Amino acid sequence: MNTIKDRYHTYQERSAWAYSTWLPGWRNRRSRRMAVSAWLACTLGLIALSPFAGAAAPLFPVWLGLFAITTVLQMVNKALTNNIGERSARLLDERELALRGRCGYVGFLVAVWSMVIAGMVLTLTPLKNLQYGPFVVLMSLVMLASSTPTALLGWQLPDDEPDPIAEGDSRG
Amino acid sequence: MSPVRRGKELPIHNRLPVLRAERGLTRAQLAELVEVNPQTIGALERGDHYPSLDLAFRICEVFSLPVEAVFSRTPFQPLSAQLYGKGER
Repeated sequence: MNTIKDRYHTYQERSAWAYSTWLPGWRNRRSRRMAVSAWLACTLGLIALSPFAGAAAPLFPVWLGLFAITTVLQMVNKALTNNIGERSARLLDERELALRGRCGYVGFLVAVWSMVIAGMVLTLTPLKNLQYGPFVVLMSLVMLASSTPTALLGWQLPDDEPDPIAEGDSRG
Repeated sequence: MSPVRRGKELPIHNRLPVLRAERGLTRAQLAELVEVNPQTIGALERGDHYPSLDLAFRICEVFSLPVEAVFSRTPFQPLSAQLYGKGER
Protein backbone atom coordinates (compact mmCIF):
# COMPACT_ATOMS: atom_id res chain seq x y z
CA MET A 1 0.00 0.00 0.00
CA ASN A 2 1.25 3.46 -0.87
CA THR A 3 1.27 5.13 2.54
CA ILE A 4 2.13 8.75 3.27
CA LYS A 5 5.47 7.53 4.62
CA ASP A 6 6.24 5.69 1.35
CA ARG A 7 5.31 8.75 -0.66
CA TYR A 8 7.49 10.93 1.54
CA HIS A 9 10.42 8.53 1.06
CA THR A 10 9.89 8.61 -2.71
CA TYR A 11 9.85 12.41 -2.59
CA GLN A 12 13.08 12.42 -0.55
CA GLU A 13 14.79 10.08 -3.02
CA ARG A 14 13.67 12.20 -5.97
CA SER A 15 14.85 15.37 -4.23
CA ALA A 16 18.23 13.78 -3.40
CA TRP A 17 18.63 12.68 -7.01
CA ALA A 18 17.75 16.20 -8.23
CA TYR A 19 20.40 17.77 -5.96
CA SER A 20 23.00 15.28 -7.20
CA THR A 21 22.49 16.40 -10.81
CA TRP A 22 22.66 20.19 -10.32
CA LEU A 23 25.77 22.15 -11.33
CA PRO A 24 27.90 19.16 -12.41
CA GLY A 25 30.82 21.37 -13.48
CA TRP A 26 31.09 22.96 -10.02
CA ARG A 27 31.51 19.76 -8.03
CA ASN A 28 35.09 20.31 -6.99
CA ARG A 29 36.72 21.67 -3.85
CA ARG A 30 37.62 25.06 -5.40
CA SER A 31 34.06 25.83 -6.52
CA ARG A 32 32.60 24.55 -3.26
CA ARG A 33 34.93 26.77 -1.23
CA MET A 34 34.15 29.79 -3.42
CA ALA A 35 30.41 29.22 -2.89
CA VAL A 36 30.91 28.84 0.87
CA SER A 37 33.02 32.03 1.02
CA ALA A 38 30.36 33.98 -0.91
CA TRP A 39 27.64 32.61 1.39
CA LEU A 40 29.65 33.52 4.49
CA ALA A 41 30.33 37.07 3.25
CA CYS A 42 26.64 37.60 2.49
CA THR A 43 25.51 36.09 5.81
CA LEU A 44 27.93 38.23 7.82
CA GLY A 45 26.70 41.23 5.81
CA LEU A 46 23.11 40.30 6.73
CA ILE A 47 23.98 40.08 10.42
CA ALA A 48 25.98 43.31 10.40
CA LEU A 49 23.12 45.11 8.66
CA SER A 50 20.34 43.61 10.76
CA PRO A 51 20.48 45.96 13.82
CA PHE A 52 20.15 48.97 11.48
CA ALA A 53 17.77 47.47 8.89
CA GLY A 54 14.80 47.08 11.19
CA ALA A 55 13.28 50.39 10.15
CA ALA A 56 11.32 50.30 6.89
CA ALA A 57 13.68 52.50 4.88
CA PRO A 58 16.30 52.80 3.52
CA LEU A 59 18.25 49.75 4.73
CA PHE A 60 15.43 47.21 4.92
CA PRO A 61 15.15 46.73 1.11
CA VAL A 62 18.94 46.34 0.96
CA TRP A 63 18.79 43.68 3.70
CA LEU A 64 15.92 41.93 1.87
CA GLY A 65 17.93 41.83 -1.39
CA LEU A 66 20.97 40.46 0.42
CA PHE A 67 18.74 37.87 2.09
CA ALA A 68 17.52 36.69 -1.34
CA ILE A 69 21.11 36.39 -2.61
CA THR A 70 22.12 34.48 0.53
CA THR A 71 19.20 32.08 0.06
CA VAL A 72 20.32 31.34 -3.51
CA LEU A 73 23.90 30.76 -2.29
CA GLN A 74 22.57 28.45 0.41
CA MET A 75 20.83 26.38 -2.28
CA VAL A 76 24.04 26.29 -4.33
CA ASN A 77 25.91 25.00 -1.26
CA LYS A 78 23.26 22.32 -0.71
CA ALA A 79 23.53 21.20 -4.33
CA LEU A 80 27.34 21.09 -4.27
CA THR A 81 27.32 18.94 -1.11
CA ASN A 82 24.49 16.67 -2.36
CA ASN A 83 22.48 18.10 0.52
CA ILE A 84 24.25 15.78 2.99
CA GLY A 85 23.58 18.32 5.75
CA GLU A 86 19.80 18.09 5.49
CA ARG A 87 19.06 14.86 3.67
CA SER A 88 17.13 12.07 5.38
CA ALA A 89 19.42 9.72 7.31
CA ARG A 90 18.14 6.70 5.38
CA LEU A 91 19.66 8.15 2.20
CA LEU A 92 23.11 8.63 3.74
CA ASP A 93 25.85 6.07 4.26
CA GLU A 94 27.93 5.76 7.42
CA ARG A 95 30.67 8.22 6.34
CA GLU A 96 28.10 10.85 5.35
CA LEU A 97 26.25 10.35 8.62
CA ALA A 98 29.49 10.80 10.58
CA LEU A 99 30.35 13.94 8.59
CA ARG A 100 26.90 15.35 9.17
CA GLY A 101 27.10 14.54 12.87
CA ARG A 102 30.33 16.53 13.23
CA CYS A 103 29.11 19.51 11.19
CA GLY A 104 25.64 19.40 12.75
CA TYR A 105 27.19 19.76 16.21
CA VAL A 106 28.95 22.96 15.12
CA GLY A 107 25.63 24.14 13.67
CA PHE A 108 23.99 23.50 17.04
CA LEU A 109 26.65 25.55 18.86
CA VAL A 110 26.25 28.38 16.33
CA ALA A 111 22.47 28.26 16.86
CA VAL A 112 22.85 28.50 20.64
CA TRP A 113 25.26 31.45 20.45
CA SER A 114 23.06 33.10 17.82
CA MET A 115 20.25 33.22 20.33
CA VAL A 116 22.60 34.89 22.83
CA ILE A 117 23.54 37.47 20.17
CA ALA A 118 19.89 37.97 19.25
CA GLY A 119 19.01 38.52 22.91
CA MET A 120 21.78 41.09 23.33
CA VAL A 121 21.00 42.99 20.11
CA LEU A 122 17.28 43.11 20.79
CA THR A 123 17.86 44.24 24.36
CA LEU A 124 20.27 47.01 23.39
CA THR A 125 18.33 48.31 20.36
CA PRO A 126 15.42 50.69 21.00
CA LEU A 127 12.52 48.83 19.41
CA LYS A 128 10.43 51.96 18.84
CA ASN A 129 12.77 52.81 15.93
CA LEU A 130 12.71 49.32 14.48
CA GLN A 131 9.57 48.38 12.62
CA TYR A 132 10.90 44.95 11.56
CA GLY A 133 13.71 44.74 14.16
CA PRO A 134 13.19 41.32 15.78
CA PHE A 135 12.27 39.71 12.47
CA VAL A 136 15.36 41.06 10.69
CA VAL A 137 17.79 40.11 13.46
CA LEU A 138 16.33 36.64 13.99
CA MET A 139 16.09 35.80 10.28
CA SER A 140 19.75 36.80 9.79
CA LEU A 141 20.82 34.52 12.63
CA VAL A 142 18.56 31.68 11.46
CA MET A 143 20.24 31.93 8.05
CA LEU A 144 23.65 31.61 9.72
CA ALA A 145 22.75 28.74 12.05
CA SER A 146 20.68 26.70 9.59
CA SER A 147 23.30 26.77 6.84
CA THR A 148 26.43 26.33 8.96
CA PRO A 149 26.50 22.49 8.69
CA THR A 150 26.16 22.60 4.89
CA ALA A 151 28.80 25.34 4.64
CA LEU A 152 31.24 23.33 6.78
CA LEU A 153 30.63 20.28 4.60
CA GLY A 154 31.19 22.35 1.46
CA TRP A 155 34.50 23.60 2.85
CA GLN A 156 35.70 20.14 3.94
CA LEU A 157 34.64 17.78 1.16
CA PRO A 158 37.65 16.77 -0.95
CA ASP A 159 37.92 16.58 -4.71
CA ASP A 160 36.98 13.22 -6.19
CA GLU A 161 40.15 11.35 -7.12
CA PRO A 162 40.19 9.92 -10.63
CA ASP A 163 39.53 6.17 -10.72
CA PRO A 164 41.99 4.57 -13.22
CA ILE A 165 39.78 1.49 -13.54
CA ALA A 166 36.71 3.57 -14.45
CA GLU A 167 38.80 5.64 -16.87
CA GLY A 168 40.09 2.43 -18.48
CA ASP A 169 36.49 1.22 -18.84
CA SER A 170 35.36 4.43 -20.50
CA ARG A 171 38.27 4.29 -22.95
CA GLY A 172 37.23 0.73 -23.83
CA MET B 1 37.76 6.21 27.62
CA SER B 2 38.39 5.26 24.04
CA PRO B 3 38.41 8.22 21.68
CA VAL B 4 36.21 7.86 18.60
CA ARG B 5 38.99 8.62 16.12
CA ARG B 6 42.55 7.42 16.69
CA GLY B 7 43.51 7.41 13.03
CA LYS B 8 46.96 8.94 13.47
CA GLU B 9 48.11 6.69 16.31
CA LEU B 10 46.34 3.52 15.22
CA PRO B 11 45.66 3.63 11.50
CA ILE B 12 43.71 0.91 9.70
CA HIS B 13 45.32 0.02 6.38
CA ASN B 14 43.42 -1.66 3.58
CA ARG B 15 44.02 -3.34 0.26
CA LEU B 16 40.96 -1.99 -1.51
CA PRO B 17 42.74 -0.40 -4.51
CA VAL B 18 44.72 -3.60 -5.23
CA LEU B 19 41.69 -5.86 -4.81
CA ARG B 20 39.55 -3.60 -6.99
CA ALA B 21 42.23 -3.54 -9.67
CA GLU B 22 42.56 -7.35 -9.57
CA ARG B 23 38.85 -7.78 -10.14
CA GLY B 24 38.42 -4.78 -12.45
CA LEU B 25 35.88 -3.18 -10.13
CA THR B 26 35.36 0.56 -10.35
CA ARG B 27 34.70 2.57 -7.18
CA ALA B 28 31.12 3.06 -8.30
CA GLN B 29 30.62 -0.69 -8.83
CA LEU B 30 32.08 -1.61 -5.45
CA ALA B 31 30.03 1.16 -3.84
CA GLU B 32 26.86 -0.26 -5.36
CA LEU B 33 27.71 -3.76 -4.15
CA VAL B 34 28.22 -2.63 -0.55
CA GLU B 35 25.48 0.04 -0.66
CA VAL B 36 27.50 3.18 -0.01
CA ASN B 37 28.30 6.23 -2.11
CA PRO B 38 31.37 6.02 -4.43
CA GLN B 39 32.96 8.92 -2.49
CA THR B 40 32.96 6.69 0.59
CA ILE B 41 35.03 4.06 -1.23
CA GLY B 42 37.46 6.85 -2.16
CA ALA B 43 37.60 7.99 1.48
CA LEU B 44 38.28 4.40 2.63
CA GLU B 45 41.11 4.06 0.12
CA ARG B 46 42.67 7.36 1.19
CA GLY B 47 42.34 6.41 4.87
CA ASP B 48 40.03 9.38 5.52
CA HIS B 49 37.33 7.06 6.83
CA TYR B 50 37.52 3.77 8.71
CA PRO B 51 34.66 1.38 8.02
CA SER B 52 32.24 0.09 10.60
CA LEU B 53 32.43 -3.63 11.28
CA ASP B 54 29.29 -4.07 9.21
CA LEU B 55 30.74 -2.27 6.18
CA ALA B 56 34.07 -4.10 6.56
CA PHE B 57 32.24 -7.46 6.45
CA ARG B 58 30.21 -6.40 3.42
CA ILE B 59 33.42 -5.40 1.59
CA CYS B 60 35.11 -8.69 2.51
CA GLU B 61 32.07 -10.60 1.26
CA VAL B 62 32.42 -8.94 -2.16
CA PHE B 63 36.05 -10.09 -2.41
CA SER B 64 35.38 -13.45 -0.67
CA LEU B 65 38.27 -12.80 1.69
CA PRO B 66 38.63 -12.77 5.48
CA VAL B 67 38.76 -9.37 7.20
CA GLU B 68 42.49 -9.66 7.96
CA ALA B 69 43.23 -10.05 4.23
CA VAL B 70 41.56 -6.72 3.46
CA PHE B 71 42.14 -4.63 6.59
CA SER B 72 45.15 -4.51 8.90
CA ARG B 73 46.67 -2.40 11.68
CA THR B 74 50.08 -2.75 10.03
CA PRO B 75 50.89 -1.65 6.47
CA PHE B 76 50.43 -4.40 3.89
CA GLN B 77 53.43 -5.69 1.96
CA PRO B 78 53.04 -5.65 -1.82
CA LEU B 79 51.30 -8.86 -2.94
CA SER B 80 54.29 -9.81 -5.13
CA ALA B 81 56.63 -9.53 -2.14
CA GLN B 82 54.28 -11.68 -0.06
CA LEU B 83 54.04 -14.31 -2.80
CA TYR B 84 57.77 -14.55 -3.52
CA GLY B 85 59.10 -13.49 -0.14
CA LYS B 86 61.41 -10.77 -1.55
CA GLY B 87 60.29 -8.14 0.92
CA GLU B 88 61.50 -10.16 3.89
CA ARG B 89 65.17 -10.38 2.87
